[in-house]
Amino acid sequence: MMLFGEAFDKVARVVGLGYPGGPKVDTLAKQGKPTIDLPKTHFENLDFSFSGIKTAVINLNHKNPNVNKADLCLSFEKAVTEVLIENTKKALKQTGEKTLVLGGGVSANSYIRNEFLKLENVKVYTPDLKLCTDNAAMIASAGYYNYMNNKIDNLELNAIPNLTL
Amino acid sequence: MKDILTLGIESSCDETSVAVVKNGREVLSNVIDTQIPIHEKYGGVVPEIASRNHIEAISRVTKRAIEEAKITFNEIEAITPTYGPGLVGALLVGLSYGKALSYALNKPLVGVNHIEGHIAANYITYKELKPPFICLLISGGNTQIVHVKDYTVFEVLGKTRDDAIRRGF
Repeated sequence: MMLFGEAFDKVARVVGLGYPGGPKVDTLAKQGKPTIDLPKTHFENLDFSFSGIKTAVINLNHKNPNVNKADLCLSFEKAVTEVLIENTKKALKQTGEKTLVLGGGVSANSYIRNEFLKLENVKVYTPDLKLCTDNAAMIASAGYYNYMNNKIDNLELNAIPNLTL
Repeated sequence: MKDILTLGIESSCDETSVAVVKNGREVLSNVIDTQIPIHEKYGGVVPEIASRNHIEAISRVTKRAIEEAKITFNEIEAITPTYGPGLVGALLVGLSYGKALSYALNKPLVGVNHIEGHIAANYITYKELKPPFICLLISGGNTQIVHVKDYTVFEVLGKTRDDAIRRGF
């Protein structure tokens, strides 16, 4: 499942890195400097939008094909991470929770992980890298907790492509 | 208390994976058959091709997961396939296979939300971790901030607004 990941894929494609984009952007960004200012979208609530950042990267690369790709990748990572951190801090404050857990394929990104691990006054957990991308062990674990809570299905269960939490 | 083994089945996108996990925390096997090299030349996941590769892989991946866990099918307590979100044709492969196993082995079928799986990856990594906590999920389409109040109780506090654009599969 991709969309934030899709932003990484799209950025990777425009800077000529190919699919899957996440790990390639991650590697190239390590050689870059965060010199490029990208527009960030903010909402009143805790929602996100990354399409503006993504479009800015695409346009910048289009107008200036000689732009330093490593700088562009790191600037992209920095911009999205700032938005993620800002909203996460709000969520912690709003709920009073002191524990933060990262999850999902993009949580394997080393820049994002490191920035979150720098946060103060909160215990931050990042999943084992091997368990960030899709795997059945995490499904079996979630299944165990469903089972223990008597969430059992019958054989009419259907696939739901747009299932939410 | 008796140990409980669950059989996880995952086929929502471009990975065919089957795993045996003990008590939700200890991985006995986690076999992952990735299709990345197949989709690489198209620059992204082709849903139809993904489904066809899942159906080829699912039996052999399951067999290996059972072998690596050094168990028999009868020791499994519940069959737990992903039923969403994801590519519908891809999901149906793992879900149908899970249903068939559930029927044949007479074991309960427990559908799993893939997003809950990404949260649970941390229960495997950190044995001491327990709800409540805040979870930031950044798995592509599912960028969201979730208040995990209990193992099966979630409140979404914020999410990507541009999701719908890509949710038209």
